[in-house]
Amino acid sequence: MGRVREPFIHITRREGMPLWKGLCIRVGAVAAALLIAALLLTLSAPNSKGFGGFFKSLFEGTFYVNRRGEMNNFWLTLQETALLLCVAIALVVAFKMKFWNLGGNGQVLMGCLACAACMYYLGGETEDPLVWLLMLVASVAAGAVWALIPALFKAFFNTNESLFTLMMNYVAFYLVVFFVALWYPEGTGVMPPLSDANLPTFGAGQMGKSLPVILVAVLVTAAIFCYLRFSKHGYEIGLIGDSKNTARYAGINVKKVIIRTLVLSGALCGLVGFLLVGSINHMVSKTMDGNRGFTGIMVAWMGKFNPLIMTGVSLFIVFLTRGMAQVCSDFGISNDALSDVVIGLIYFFLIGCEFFISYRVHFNVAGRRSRPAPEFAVEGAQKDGSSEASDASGAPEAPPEASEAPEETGAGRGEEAPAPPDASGGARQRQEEET
Amino acid sequence: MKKKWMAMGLAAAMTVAGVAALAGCTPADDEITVGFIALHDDNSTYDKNFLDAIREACANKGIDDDHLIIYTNVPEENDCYDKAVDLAGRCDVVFADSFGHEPFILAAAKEFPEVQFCHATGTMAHTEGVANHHNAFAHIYEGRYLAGVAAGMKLVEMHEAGELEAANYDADGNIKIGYVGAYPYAEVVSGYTSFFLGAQSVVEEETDISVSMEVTYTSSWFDEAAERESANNLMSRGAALISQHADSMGAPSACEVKDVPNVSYNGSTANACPNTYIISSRINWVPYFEYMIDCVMNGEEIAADWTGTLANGAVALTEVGAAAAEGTAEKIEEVKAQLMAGTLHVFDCSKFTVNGEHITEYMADVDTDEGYEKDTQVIENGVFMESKYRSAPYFDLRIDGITELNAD
Amino acid sequence: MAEPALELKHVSKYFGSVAANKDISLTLEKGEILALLGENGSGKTTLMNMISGIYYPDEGRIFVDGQEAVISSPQDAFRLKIGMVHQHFKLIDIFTAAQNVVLGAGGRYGVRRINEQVGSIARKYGFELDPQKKIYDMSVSEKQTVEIVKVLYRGADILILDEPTAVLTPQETEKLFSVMRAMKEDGKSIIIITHKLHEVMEISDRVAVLRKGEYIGCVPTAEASEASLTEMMVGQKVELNIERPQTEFDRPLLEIRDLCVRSDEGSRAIDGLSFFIRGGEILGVAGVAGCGQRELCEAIAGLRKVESGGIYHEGESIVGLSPRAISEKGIAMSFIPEDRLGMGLAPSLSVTDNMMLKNYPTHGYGIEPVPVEPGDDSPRAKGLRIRNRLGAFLNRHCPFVDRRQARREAEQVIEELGVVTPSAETPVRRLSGGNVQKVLLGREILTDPNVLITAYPVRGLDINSSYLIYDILNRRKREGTGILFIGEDLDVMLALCDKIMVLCHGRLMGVVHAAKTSKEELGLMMAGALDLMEEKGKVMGVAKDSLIGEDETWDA
Repeated sequence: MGRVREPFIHITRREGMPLWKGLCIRVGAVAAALLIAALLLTLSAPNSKGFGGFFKSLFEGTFYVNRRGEMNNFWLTLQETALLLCVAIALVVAFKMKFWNLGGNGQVLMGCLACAACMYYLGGETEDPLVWLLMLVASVAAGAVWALIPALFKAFFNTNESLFTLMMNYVAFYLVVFFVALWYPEGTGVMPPLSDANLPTFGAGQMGKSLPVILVAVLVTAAIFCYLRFSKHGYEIGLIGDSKNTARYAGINVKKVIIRTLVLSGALCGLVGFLLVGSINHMVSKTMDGNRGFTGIMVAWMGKFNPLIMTGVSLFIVFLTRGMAQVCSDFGISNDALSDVVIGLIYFFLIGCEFFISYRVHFNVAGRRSRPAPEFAVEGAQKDGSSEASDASGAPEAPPEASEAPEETGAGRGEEAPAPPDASGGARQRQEEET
Repeated sequence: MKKKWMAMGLAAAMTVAGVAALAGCTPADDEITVGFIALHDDNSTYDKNFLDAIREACANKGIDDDHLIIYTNVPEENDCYDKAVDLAGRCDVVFADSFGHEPFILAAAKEFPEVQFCHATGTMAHTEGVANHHNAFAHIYEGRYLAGVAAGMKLVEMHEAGELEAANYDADGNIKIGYVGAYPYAEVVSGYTSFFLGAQSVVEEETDISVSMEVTYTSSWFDEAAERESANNLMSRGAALISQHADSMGAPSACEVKDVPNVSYNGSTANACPNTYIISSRINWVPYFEYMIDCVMNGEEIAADWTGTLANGAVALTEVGAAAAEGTAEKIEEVKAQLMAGTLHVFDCSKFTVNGEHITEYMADVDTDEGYEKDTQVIENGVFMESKYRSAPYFDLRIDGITELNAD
Repeated sequence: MAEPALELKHVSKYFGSVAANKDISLTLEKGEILALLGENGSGKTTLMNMISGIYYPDEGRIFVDGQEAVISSPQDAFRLKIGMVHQHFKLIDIFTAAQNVVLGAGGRYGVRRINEQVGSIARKYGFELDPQKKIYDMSVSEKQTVEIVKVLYRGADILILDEPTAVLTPQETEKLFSVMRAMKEDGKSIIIITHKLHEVMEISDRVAVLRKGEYIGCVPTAEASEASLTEMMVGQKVELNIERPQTEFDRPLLEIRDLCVRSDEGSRAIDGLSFFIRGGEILGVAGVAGCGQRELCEAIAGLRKVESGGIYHEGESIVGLSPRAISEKGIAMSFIPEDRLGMGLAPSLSVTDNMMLKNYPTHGYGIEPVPVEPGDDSPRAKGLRIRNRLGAFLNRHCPFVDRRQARREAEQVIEELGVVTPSAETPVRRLSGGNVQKVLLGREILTDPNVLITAYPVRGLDINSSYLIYDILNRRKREGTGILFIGEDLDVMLALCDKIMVLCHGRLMGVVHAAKTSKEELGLMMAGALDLMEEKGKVMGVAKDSLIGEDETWDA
């Protein structure tokens, strides 16, 4: 009797997991990541304030109350969340159609630029309300145009939208640099804030400044949620994203819908630009997008394209970012790299835990399989259970195209919506087929 | 199932509330707290210069880590205002280190009259008249001049030893040097002009030829690739020596590769470029910070425009490199004494010409305004009085002998 | 007694909570052909995948030649001399047959040597195979031959053939069977997976039956009959007859004249095709894979450009109309492609959302008009009329979808067709294959079409569901719908259709009455060996009472 080699690790797909359990796992992942981060920083920081100090600073990023009793950080957190959420929602509109709009940064920047241009040229010379209106129209239009161009090319020439939108980001970046240099030739390419045509605030202090932004975000989120769920346009978007052929069969003019949807997506980004310049900064700089176009992609995916979950995810991300900045400041760390490492670690844990939510790992340790063994005795076969991984893979490989389901269960590429391209179809532990 | 949700929800709420309460408690104490806003972080030599200085100054004054709050990577946008307001709620004095921070610092200063706001490289303190808003800079041009002197010494040594090639001399037989600048405005122009004048003084004194300089702009304070490219370009055009006003190691490393002497800024590159490092000038901010802290501690007024000098140590030179010419250190001491005594002026109008003529009067743009109006007469007694009417430089004349290769 | 070539003891495989195979124990004797019979969804392929190393059993053991074996990868299977020929070929088109055969077998080779080796293997068992022919030049059955030779080249003693005859014409199937007999003579043991009963009866020595993942039993073929096997497969007695109700044929509903359509690659997918369908008639379309069925469907539905020729619905040309317009004329299409979810359904959307695919543009607010007497001129009546007009206007321009109506329709289809689904909101991809097809067909029928084009409607379905579908089609036929039925199973088509037309490379080979033709004749036409169009005096594919005007010319 020869040795029987069994694969050490054996992965199967889970059927589904009760909501509370999945939530617990995610919360656990975050907690684990934070603990590791706390450990890392506590040990390496010049002015370490220990574990307690870590969490205190983390929360202070949002909940700090200063000497005057103001809670500026709280409003700033909400404001940042609002901006990030708006961008993410703008992207989701396109993502639902499987149009990978990676140009959020550029579209926001163009909105910023258009708004700043209105303020620069018309501020102080024309009546404020008129300028505000023009600012709004210009920002929204600029963002819309910036998304329209790649959309046209995709619709008519089937160009790759990821590359196109990505490249447009750089064009927008340099356009901003150009205009700032044009308006302020002396100096280091920085534009001072303009005092004319600033959008009104809704009250005193930081709350007053942040409230308009927050309200706009709430409105946008609600409106787009309804749009995607209940309107005919939304239905078409979902259909095209799911199966282009079926959409054509249903008689939908796919080109028209692509263009229409991208205009909306860009317009929303432009709106964010309007808020950034008109309401908050009153000037434009080449980094004004704050990389929200990319962070927004993460919010969209982690939020599973659901506006409600996305709100929570944005809040979490902003809370984390601000909290880590506060931690670094309090712990005397003046090198941003460490803060980025920690945030990256937390994302890694969060995304990684999705794997354990979707799959179950079985270990065949010391000859005993984790599934019940057959009843009859084994004649003399040595179970060499040491981890000879042989060809058994530990993780599902990248799924092949058109991964077929076993006809038995028909549970095809069973994914919770929206079927992210990375983790689907891994029902089999290996996808190798015979040569 | 519902119970689980409730339990988790309560736990979460309690944690948040508890920590918020904890966070809200700020211990009231009598020690002063210093706040600092940096454009980048320790990875940038520019900010590192400031950060090291503030830490040293606080240590000298007995301010512990808990009373020094540093925010890094604060962009020149409204975020700066938010951070300034945040610091104003915790600190007695707030400092920001980059030009573009100024409007936001100013706005915060107006809102928090009891907190002092200090700003480096800024220009608005003397015009806006906000009592708790102050600018600071240094007569760095003097440091540059001295660095130029060291460069001149090296050039003379190379010239007399016959180490220079034909390409290193321009059409008039003057030695060519190169300068990598960032932006074509006063701060940079002032810097390279004073450097040039320092080199010129030595070369003309020791030999019968002069120097000429070519300048390129990279349009960025920190762009390693562009700075390296520029340095290589200048060297291929025949520069016998390179200096720069940029924050990365692009230019010095390019010089090290080509074995061309390099005069650095803001820090010694001796470790990275042992064969070519001559000297470096920098602003030592410790004197200013100590001054600033003292004023706050004693309740005194901080100067609206504080300009550091050689005398108070704000303008400093790093050590003389192994590649420098013999006698450099002594020469520098000699010139330094002259500058401090006032017998030698850097921007002596008789030592340079603009379009072939020595200038006798010049209106400089000292007060910041949109039209860049030239408003102040700055030449007195045949000397261009740099950094007198405000701390940030305003020398923006292009003198003869210096060619800009890519002025915008 | 000699050791069995292969023995499975209590083998199980679970996917999540579903048991694809549960406690299966069977044996394969040396030198026998064992048929593994079961409906679609019974677990046959999963079981064979475990033997060939693609899956790993969750329970149970496998013995090869009496010795226990752990097969955790296809390499292990090769070493144990087990070879599987899959339904979907894994061949490199630009290589020759010989190159494909030796691919991955290791070692270096000279072209002449491998040609000789491959040629000798083929000759030994009676394959007709040219080792130097390139794959892209080959027909489907030749490609299958390459796959089998590939497995033999590696010295397989146990061969597993997964639904080998699905893509073959009757003649090719015969050739395959004779090859299999030759291999059996040579001492090889063969498992053939199939669901076609007559093939089982013809070729196998024993039959093992699976049902819903469980092993039912094994009978010698000599002692079995189609009826007894069906009973084992399904679990109860099943009527195996497909009805063919007699109907009054209507005038031609859909006429195709000299249609030319290009495929995606640019070649002629449909080449000068003419045929017609009458109301109350089922016209079958037979042909090997890729003979143009898909392009034909798409052209009629308006999804593919017609290069030349005409498509007429009740005398009116529909060439160039949008898919929506064509659908509104009453032409419905249900196309089940190989991956089942590719067209006609959106996999991630719910059943409800899929139901409203065609009529969502007309969804309104659901404002019902209030009835008003025509002669009534009172102010109230006038006001009501205005209200009605306003309501209609709003309904027409409503931006929202109305899921209530769609849900009602979904529930109707679920009930009538027996779709197994947790609810009407379940995403369609969660349904098992058969139910997906039911939803699709149900939706198309809901629109009450007068022409129904259905392609592979029972692909992958179990027997009960298949017969349900046939019943539905017959019902529609009785109501006067003209049905174009594109299918793979000739036996089914011979029973169900009134007429059958055969395509080969996009050209019409002939239109025959189902009752008057035979499988062999159809097989010859499918392979292009028989062309009824060339017979003098026969005009195929053009209705005598065509609704199209006389200026249409056609060749006699």
